[in-house]
Amino acid sequence: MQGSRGYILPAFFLLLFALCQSALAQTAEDDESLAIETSEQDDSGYLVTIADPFIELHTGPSDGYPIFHVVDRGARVSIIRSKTDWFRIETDDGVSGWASREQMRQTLLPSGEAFKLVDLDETDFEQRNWVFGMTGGEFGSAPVFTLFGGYSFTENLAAEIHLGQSIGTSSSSRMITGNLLLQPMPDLTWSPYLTLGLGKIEVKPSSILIAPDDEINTLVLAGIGVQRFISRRFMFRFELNQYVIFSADSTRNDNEVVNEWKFGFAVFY
Amino acid sequence: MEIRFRGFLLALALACSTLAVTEVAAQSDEDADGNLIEPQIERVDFDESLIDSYDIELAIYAGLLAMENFDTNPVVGLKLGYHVSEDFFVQASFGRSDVGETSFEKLTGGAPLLSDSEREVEYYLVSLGFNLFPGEAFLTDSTTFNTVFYVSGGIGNTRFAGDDRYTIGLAAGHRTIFADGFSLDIEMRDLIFDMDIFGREETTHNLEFTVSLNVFL
Repeated sequence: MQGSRGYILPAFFLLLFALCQSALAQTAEDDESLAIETSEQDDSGYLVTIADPFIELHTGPSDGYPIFHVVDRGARVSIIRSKTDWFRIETDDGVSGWASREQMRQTLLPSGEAFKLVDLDETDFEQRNWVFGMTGGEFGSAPVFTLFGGYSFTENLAAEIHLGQSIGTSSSSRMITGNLLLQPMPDLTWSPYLTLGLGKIEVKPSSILIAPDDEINTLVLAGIGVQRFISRRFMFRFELNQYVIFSADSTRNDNEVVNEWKFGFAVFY
Repeated sequence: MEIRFRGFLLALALACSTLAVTEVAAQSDEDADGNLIEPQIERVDFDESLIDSYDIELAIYAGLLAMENFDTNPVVGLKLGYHVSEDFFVQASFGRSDVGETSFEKLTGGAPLLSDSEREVEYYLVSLGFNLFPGEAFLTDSTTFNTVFYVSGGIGNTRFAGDDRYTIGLAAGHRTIFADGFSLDIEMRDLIFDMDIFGREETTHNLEFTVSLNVFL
């Protein structure tokens, strides 16, 4: 009898400690989930604290939409999404509206740190890797439209592929070129560059003319241009090129020289 | 013996409890660390790039294209847009349609001017748009949708009657934004290009009226 009591006591202790342990672990788990919940809300957005004296909520993502609510300093709001330079935020009371980038610049994260806005500037432009854009202009006397994409190896050197379409009165042509861009002074606002390229051109005579079939010729090009950062991910470009289109018939020496100007814009990453 | 055995059991229980406490302590330390450090790392890492941005727009559209000298026919197309700022957007659009017969062909009943494949119209345009008048549409007392009247202009190509035609597109449209990620546009666009299939070159205005469903990504 005594012996059995002897077993009961330690067993009781064991059970007690086991319970304590699981209870403690449970509490710790609760704490953890609570902490995560208050520091970041995955479903409904990210929590920030307003640090400006107040911020204005617009009904839409533009200055043109009216202000319908004001959130005071110290209020916690969650950022749900962004559109251009506007953020859709929601207050604790469930009021949701659009706040401008300028006003959000002052908000703080729960840790007290400033909310980092990714402001792209000319430095980001100089350190870009990828560029995608379009240009329009004249190829010879015909309008030309070009899509291009490129990769910058360094701040000074980039490789690009251009797909162009030129639509003239007697023929239309498509061309593809691979270009090397040399940008000697990348830190200038209007930064000049040199282009050298090699490609193919397909000339399709207009259907009203009685003409031979489509011709595919090789071409080389050299050009100069200038480009500059506009804002956000955008850049502007203007270029002048000279193309030499080699005759398909190597026995004749009638290479054609065509001048081109074009300007356009591109996004960079 | 019994006492020794009990003592052993107690010692075992103590040892276990100590272990358990240590484990609890260790675990709670870990938890405490987790609480303190882990979210902080996330806080530090958190910046604007983590926020969903709705700057890219994808749209399908359908409507009518009235080709000068030809019939008015259904047109369908796709648009891909990027909103640069609250005012400006860039947009690429691609559309296709088929034209019918000219009045001349219908009246004379003679040889058709164009073959079937030449009656296919395909165009693309890259445009720059401007959100001119932001506004609101009041559906009921409590339901309001944002709207915007926009204009856009672009260049591109139209392939019609076997030839590529350099095209200028001018458009004006009205957008009703039903949700942040969804809108409906009604757009009128003038596709301007030169046509020479009637013997002499003339500039044609081809009016397109479309309705498009847009999603923002």
